[in-house]
Amino acid sequence: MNKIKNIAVYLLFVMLTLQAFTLSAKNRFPKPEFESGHTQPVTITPSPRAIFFEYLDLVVLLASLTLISWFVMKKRSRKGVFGISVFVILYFGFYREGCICSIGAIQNITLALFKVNYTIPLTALLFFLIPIVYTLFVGRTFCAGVCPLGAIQDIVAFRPMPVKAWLEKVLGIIPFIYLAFAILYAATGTDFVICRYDPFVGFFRMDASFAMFLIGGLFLLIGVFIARPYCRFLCPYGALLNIVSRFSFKHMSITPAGCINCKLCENACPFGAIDMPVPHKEKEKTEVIVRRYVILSLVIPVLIIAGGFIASNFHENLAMVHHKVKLANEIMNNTNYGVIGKDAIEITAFKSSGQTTEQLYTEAAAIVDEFNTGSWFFGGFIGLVFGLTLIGLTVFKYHPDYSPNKANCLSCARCMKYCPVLPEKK
Amino acid sequence: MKKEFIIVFLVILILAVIAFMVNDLFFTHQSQVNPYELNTDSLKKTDSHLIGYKEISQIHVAMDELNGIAIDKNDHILVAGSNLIVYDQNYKELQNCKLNEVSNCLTVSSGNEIFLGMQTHIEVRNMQCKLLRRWKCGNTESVLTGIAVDDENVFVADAEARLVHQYDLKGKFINNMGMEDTLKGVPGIIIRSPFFDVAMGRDDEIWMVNPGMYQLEAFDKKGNMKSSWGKQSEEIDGFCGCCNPTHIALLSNGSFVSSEKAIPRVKIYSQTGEFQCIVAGPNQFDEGTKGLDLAVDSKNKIYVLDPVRKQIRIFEKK
Repeated sequence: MNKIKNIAVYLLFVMLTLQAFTLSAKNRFPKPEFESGHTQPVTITPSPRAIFFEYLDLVVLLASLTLISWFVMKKRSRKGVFGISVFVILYFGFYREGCICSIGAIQNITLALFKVNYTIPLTALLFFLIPIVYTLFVGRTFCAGVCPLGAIQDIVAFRPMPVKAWLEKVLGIIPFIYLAFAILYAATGTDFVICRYDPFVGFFRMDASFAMFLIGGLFLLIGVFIARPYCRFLCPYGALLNIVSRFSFKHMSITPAGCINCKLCENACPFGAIDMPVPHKEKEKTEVIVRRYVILSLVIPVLIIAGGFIASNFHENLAMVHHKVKLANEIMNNTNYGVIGKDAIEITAFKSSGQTTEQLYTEAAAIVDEFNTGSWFFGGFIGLVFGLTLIGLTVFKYHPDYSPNKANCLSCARCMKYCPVLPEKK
Repeated sequence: MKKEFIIVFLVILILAVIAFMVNDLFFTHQSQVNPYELNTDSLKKTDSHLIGYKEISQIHVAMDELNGIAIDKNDHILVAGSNLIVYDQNYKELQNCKLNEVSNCLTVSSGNEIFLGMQTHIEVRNMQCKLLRRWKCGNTESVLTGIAVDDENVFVADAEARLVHQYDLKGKFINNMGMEDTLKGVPGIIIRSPFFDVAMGRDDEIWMVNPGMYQLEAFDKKGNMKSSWGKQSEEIDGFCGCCNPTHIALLSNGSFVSSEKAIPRVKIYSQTGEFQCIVAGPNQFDEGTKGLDLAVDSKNKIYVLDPVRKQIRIFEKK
């Protein structure tokens, strides 16, 4: 354990030393100072990095993922996972200021797919893909401690309390809705909402609006009692990994050998991700299952179409988040963003751009059209999620052991230490 | 029961946070406060006790574009731009000739030759506007913005090259000065707007503005930096904005007259760079005035070329 700590500290030291090279760069112009009390706003995104450092981030990601997977799958070491979490908070959190981030990379991928003039950086692509590939092989070890957002919540989960299963299911739909929102807004080039509402990036950068600091603080406070609330009830990347993990080739197990049903691990998981054994007698008859699947297979398309129809009826409201649609709306209605006495900044900027209102209206109409199409997919996806959740609630999978739920398990390795079974000697 | 209450409360809190995010995304107006907006109102106020000059006269200049002003040994006033105009001491127009292209700056030698800095070349004319000679200066991208002359040399400030080119009076290139040389302690000229002035000092030194560094720098004719003064400050004794001062002139006692843009004002500094007084404050200029070229006559009257009002404004010590 001490060795791991030392390695982590040395690694961080090396990173900070390398960073010092960029810090030593001399300003071409002296930075103006304002004695009138004017404070220059701090830019909210970190400075761009040299390509070498971007690849270094990738190497750190790969190393962290490999190491944590090894701790979870082979060493079965919660301490190892914790050590990696601390390192990740320091490196990807405070040092890299929460950027680059696999969660936000969803939006880069989407934008690259829908906007031909946007070229996705290779590092963003790999930050999105690598955790998915790992999840496909070993489950959600990325969530365990390589994601800085998850890691910071994980270390404050001091008094976790169980959430009712039905409530967990209902709240568990929110990340999918958030994912749909994020994709819709990234695909239309509107906004990167995941980044805008990242609750912890303000802590990492020591700079955020009061509201975002408050939200981040609330999430951490809630996280003391309801472990990892952001991961479980909001994280859109977690929603993706939730799906991928169901198909993982291998996954951590609570017991290193055969489960003896001692029930010691029953309440060990702070995320309620342990599936209890299902008694053999509860196993359903095949014809009951078939009948239910037939009904549900009819319900799901209905839900998809209904979802798409409902969302498409609100496509103009959804489009209003786009700054051009909003601007066109403000100009058309002559509302000037509610500003009285002078032009709003957006109006001033538009007037100085030389663009005509007709051009703006044409552009805005095209964007609203995109939202019309996108909202069908958006609503349809949410309908599908509701449908599949419904199926999930009605299916009983027979299994005699206490086992981690592959979709919801975050591979944090807490449950392992509760198992009294010793590994089989080879 | 207590645990259940806590869970319910916390779940409601999570939902409240989500509700806040939804509200912020859909229903909150975008912020109308421009965080980058700098309120300069306080800088535009001038302490009347610091004003040491009064405006005694103005000459209206009938010219499309006026850029430079100079005064010869006989106190004739010369203005250049789209035309070259010469006025006598009583502000009577002696000469007015249309130039082939717009002149950015001018100076006049002790031999009464007028040196005009055009976009990329120098023209030398006599007092009757007759072209005596011309030579290429800098390169095709050059923007000549300041010019000074003594008995042997012409010094031309090139805002594009961020250098002062040194020629003899016939146009033979001698040297460049002002380039960055860390070994010799020359910081290099930093220019963020097309204002770069040069003037002759009393001891044959060449003074040039370094607006990006908010200072004036003196060089000898070999290009060695001799001294510098000036500081960035929003107080009246310093220079502020992106890049100031824009123009300079020297009084007979070696004091400096400087003009600034953004907060348009003209000030006097001592030979060693201490602030002395204000000649004209921002309230004496129209909004957006910039490019206030300066000249000083034998009686130390200060001539400010106001390109917005198209006037030569004459100031005298109170």
